[in-house]
Amino acid sequence: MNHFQILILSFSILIPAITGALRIRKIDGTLYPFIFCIWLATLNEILSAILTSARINTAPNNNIYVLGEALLIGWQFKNWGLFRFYKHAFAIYMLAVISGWLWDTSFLSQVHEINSGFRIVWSFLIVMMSIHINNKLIYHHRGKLLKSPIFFIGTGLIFYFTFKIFIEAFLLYGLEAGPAFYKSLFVILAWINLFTNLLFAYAILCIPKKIYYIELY
Amino acid sequence: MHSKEDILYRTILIVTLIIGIIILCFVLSVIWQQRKWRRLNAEKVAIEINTLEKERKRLAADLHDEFGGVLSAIKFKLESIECATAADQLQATQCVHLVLNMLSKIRWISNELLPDTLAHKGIISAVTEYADLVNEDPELKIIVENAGIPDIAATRSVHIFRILGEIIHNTVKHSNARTLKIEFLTEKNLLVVLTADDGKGFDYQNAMNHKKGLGLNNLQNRAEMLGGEFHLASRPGSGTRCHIRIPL
Repeated sequence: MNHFQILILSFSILIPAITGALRIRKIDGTLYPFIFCIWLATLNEILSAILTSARINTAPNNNIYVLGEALLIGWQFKNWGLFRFYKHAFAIYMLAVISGWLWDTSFLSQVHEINSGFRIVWSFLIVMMSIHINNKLIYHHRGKLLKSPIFFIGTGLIFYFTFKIFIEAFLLYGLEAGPAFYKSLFVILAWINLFTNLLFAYAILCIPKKIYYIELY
Repeated sequence: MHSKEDILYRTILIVTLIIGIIILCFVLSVIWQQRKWRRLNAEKVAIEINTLEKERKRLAADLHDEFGGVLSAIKFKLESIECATAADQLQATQCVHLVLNMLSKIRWISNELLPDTLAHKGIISAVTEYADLVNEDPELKIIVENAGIPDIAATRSVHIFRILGEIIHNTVKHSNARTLKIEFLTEKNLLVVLTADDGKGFDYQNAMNHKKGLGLNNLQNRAEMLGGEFHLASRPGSGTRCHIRIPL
């Protein structure tokens, strides 16, 4: 698979991004952070494509994107009630994410290098949170799971970030492998990316329309 | 790729596949467990609600037929007594009044358990009648608006009536509202009931988390039993609004 084909697979993010843009006015605000995250990912993909074609390092924008993604997904989990067990839990999460990112970007690596350490730890956290949310749905979701956007977003996150941990671990520790090997790893990630984006697009289609209420006066 | 890298790549591919299968199994298991739980829960809720309704119906009929009949007989007997003195006559008249008072209370309780109007004139008349009773108290005014809904089977309308009864009860008991509006309309093949009050409102998520949401759960259970949906929006200081959708 050549670079152009990998790029096409990466741009599959446009499918949920466009679906989100078409539906955002009709849906409930609870899922806005997820849609903002999809748009941020789309912008990052476009920027990365432009920078790559100009032979400029894409690590800085990817590192900044990862921070934005961590904050937006955290906000989404807050909207799903994950941090309700303790009133400062969300603030602690946000603080931990920002500190972790700053620590990895400043001390363990550089801005122009991919901050794999942070990505691995944070991806692991996301997988754990998604498993928790999906398990909670067994007893708390009253409708069919196959029509639940939360379930599909959770599944997409588990799927994508489990593989991301796996791939990032190779990037972190090297293995002294050649570029062909790393390219093959990115091909696997690109296919996983496509599958996840299709799941996300379906999840956005499942988001119910806003419920209207009457006013007294 | 070198042969060593090639072996490593194949290993990664196999591990990726295994992880994918594990995730797929997890997802399928979650779907299966939730489906099972939903079915069991729906059966349990239906049994609970149907038993409650049967019991209410039986109690209403017993109160009306048994006690009502006996009390009416007592009243006639008391009225037919020929009293020797004016003091006895006064006692008998007071007894008749007590019996009449009791008869009226039995009718009220029986009506609360299962309104006659609901069976004979339908949901709109029953809700309007109930609202009129509440409107006798000047603290809360209930406005019922009907945009022309079709007839609903008695077995279904009793659940809709109970949902609205619970909403009215909650408004009276907890909201400090001055006005409650109830609107009936149809949308495609759905009956839509919308309510709004100007009360103090509450934190819905907090109520559900702290197990204060039992009444709200019952509303949702009844709506779901009819194949419908129940939605509620409320915030402290901004009233409470409900949206109920029931297939016709």
